[in-house]
Amino acid sequence: MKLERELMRGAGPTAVLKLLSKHEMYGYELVEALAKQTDGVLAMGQSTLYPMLYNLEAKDLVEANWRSAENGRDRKYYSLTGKGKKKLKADMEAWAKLVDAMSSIGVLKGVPV
Amino acid sequence: MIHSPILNTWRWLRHMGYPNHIAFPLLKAAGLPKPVGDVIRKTIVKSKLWATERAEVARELIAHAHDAIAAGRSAEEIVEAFGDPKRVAKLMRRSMKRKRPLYWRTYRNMKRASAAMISILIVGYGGLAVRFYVGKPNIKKNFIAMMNAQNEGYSEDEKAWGVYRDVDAQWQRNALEVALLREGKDHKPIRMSHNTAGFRSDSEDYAEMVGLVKSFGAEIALVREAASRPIMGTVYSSELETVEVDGVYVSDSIEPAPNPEDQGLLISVLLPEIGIARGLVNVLMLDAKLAAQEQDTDRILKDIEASLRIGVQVGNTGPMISSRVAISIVQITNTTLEFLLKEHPGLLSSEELKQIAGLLNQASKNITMQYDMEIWMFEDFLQRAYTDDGHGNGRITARGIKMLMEEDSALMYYAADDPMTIEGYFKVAASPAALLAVEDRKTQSMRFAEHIEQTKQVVLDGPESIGWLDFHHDRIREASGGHVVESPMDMLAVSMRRLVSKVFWAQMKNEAMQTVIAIERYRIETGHYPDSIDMLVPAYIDEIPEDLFRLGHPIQYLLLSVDGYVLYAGGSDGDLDGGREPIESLGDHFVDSFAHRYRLLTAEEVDADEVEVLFDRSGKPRLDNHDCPDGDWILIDMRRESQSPARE
Repeated sequence: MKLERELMRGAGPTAVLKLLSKHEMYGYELVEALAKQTDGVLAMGQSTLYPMLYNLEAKDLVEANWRSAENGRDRKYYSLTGKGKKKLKADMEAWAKLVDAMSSIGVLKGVPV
Repeated sequence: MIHSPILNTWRWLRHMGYPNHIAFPLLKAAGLPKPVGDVIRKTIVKSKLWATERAEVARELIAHAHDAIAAGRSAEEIVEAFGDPKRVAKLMRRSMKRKRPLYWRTYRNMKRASAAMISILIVGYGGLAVRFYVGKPNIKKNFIAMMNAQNEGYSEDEKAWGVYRDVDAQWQRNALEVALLREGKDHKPIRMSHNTAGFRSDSEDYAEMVGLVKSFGAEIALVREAASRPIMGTVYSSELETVEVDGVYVSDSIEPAPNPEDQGLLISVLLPEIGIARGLVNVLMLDAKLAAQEQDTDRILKDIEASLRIGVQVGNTGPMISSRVAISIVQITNTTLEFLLKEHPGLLSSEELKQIAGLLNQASKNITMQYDMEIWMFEDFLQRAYTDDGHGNGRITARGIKMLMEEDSALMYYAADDPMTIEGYFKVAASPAALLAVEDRKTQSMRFAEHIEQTKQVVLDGPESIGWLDFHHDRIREASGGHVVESPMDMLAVSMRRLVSKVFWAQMKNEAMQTVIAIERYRIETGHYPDSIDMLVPAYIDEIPEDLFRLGHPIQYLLLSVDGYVLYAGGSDGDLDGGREPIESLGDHFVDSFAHRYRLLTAEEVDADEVEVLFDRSGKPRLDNHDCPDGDWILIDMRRESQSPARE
């Protein structure tokens, strides 16, 4: 199941920030992680991911560094900035409240969370 | 990468026209399968980003493709997952631009704001232009017919104009005959409306003129009869027709078109009677002088009476210019009378002089200021220049602007089209701005009506209020905000002020002439001049005229010898200088200028606190102006030996 564009627009950046909060990651790694860890729900192609990463970079929430990987090829690694960490915390709280609110009116009833 | 305006400009200039010079070599070196390389290449090209930004996108997508291949994806899978390169390029472009430096974003925002502003202005001005060029006047009021209505109810025998026109033609014929016999090359006939100076005995044309007048007896009799008719009776029109009759050219108005749309402006209506009337008065006055030589006092009286009646006929036709001419005609008569009294003392009896005084008095009373036609002239202009909303208001039209902007005369011509020169195009493009600059019809109309009211009031209040005309005019100009296009009201207002000044000037001259007649009658009856003009009241004159430069005081009488005296007023400096005329150059000041004496205070003069402020009879403040030429205004000089009292 894939999320509708509007829902993805709200959830996608928070998901990316959350993944980067554990450790720095490169683009393809993020695409794979989003697809696997969310069971395809938050899967996004490069056409969505990279513009999103550039937006987060422009807002100073993530930073990027080009480095050579073990295979000798260059990769761009993204990591969370201090501002990004604060934003993630605020987003998580907002999501928790949203889930609670949805639950309290029965939207999540019978749906395994 | 370091971003700075200078470095970025340098990069832009270096790779202008080839922005893929970094990205494409990277793509080539990556060695990706062709389908994958093609979508990345297409994405880069379509992104339309800066060269360095394209290189960064290329590196990122190449790395992504390598990782996908390493993870076992086929080229087809990678291409399918990539999606539409055009859409990807658009998203990439949008997000990469957000990373651009602040100066670039500021510049972009300014550019967008400017473009938006220019668009708004273009659209707004376009709307204004449409509104301007769509506006059409609705010319429905026939003001020329209203002007001609004054002739209604009178038979042809009661109108003087036809006689005057034919007499003028006859004069032209006679003058041409005489001129052709003249020795030398110049055979230009003497015109009847020749400058009055030409009718003086020291003029080189005098002898010829005397001959012409002497042989003009029959026509002069016709003029005297026509002068007794109740109205002038000219048909007014904006077009004249000139017809050749027996070798001379006679002009008369063409019957005006019935539709006001086909008529010219009322302000440009032709008044052919004005010039001819003046000419006839010149002839009559010369005839009076000739009559004096022949001791024919009856003829003198008839000529003076006819002259004054012509003045009244002209003055009653309506426009202010006619009032001015009427005032001049009375003055020409006054000057002739002054000449006759000086050159032929004792010729006219006391009774005849009394009759002349009555005629002068009657003419002065009958020549009054009329304002209706000035209002019509202005309203006629408005109806031709403005649209008509049916409630007395409207906006300026292209036709109106053309009327206002004609260089030679703002009001005379508007029918001719500009050739489409650069100037013409510029006018077409710039004219709609007039909608913002020129006041609406109602405001113009209201301001003019106010000005007319002010003029009427000043004429009633007296010369001390004359400054209010300028003040009022200045206020109108201020309120109109110094418009690019001058309103015709400005022109009319200035001419009105001049006329009002002339009315007061003529009043003093006429009253002084009445006093002279009284003095002369006293002399005839007693054998000597009075020691004081107070002696004339009440037997010869009701009261001594007021000196309008020294309100509340009489004019002055200076008896110089048994054969001469002078009547004078204080002049524009408002004090008496023994009847001495100013010696110094007057410059812009005129000793007989009421406008100068009774002008209003300027703000600077109030601040300087160096002027004496008086109040007029209605309690309004005015300036008592002593900053005027030192000297008096000689009203009438009856000295037979010309010797200035100032130099005695």
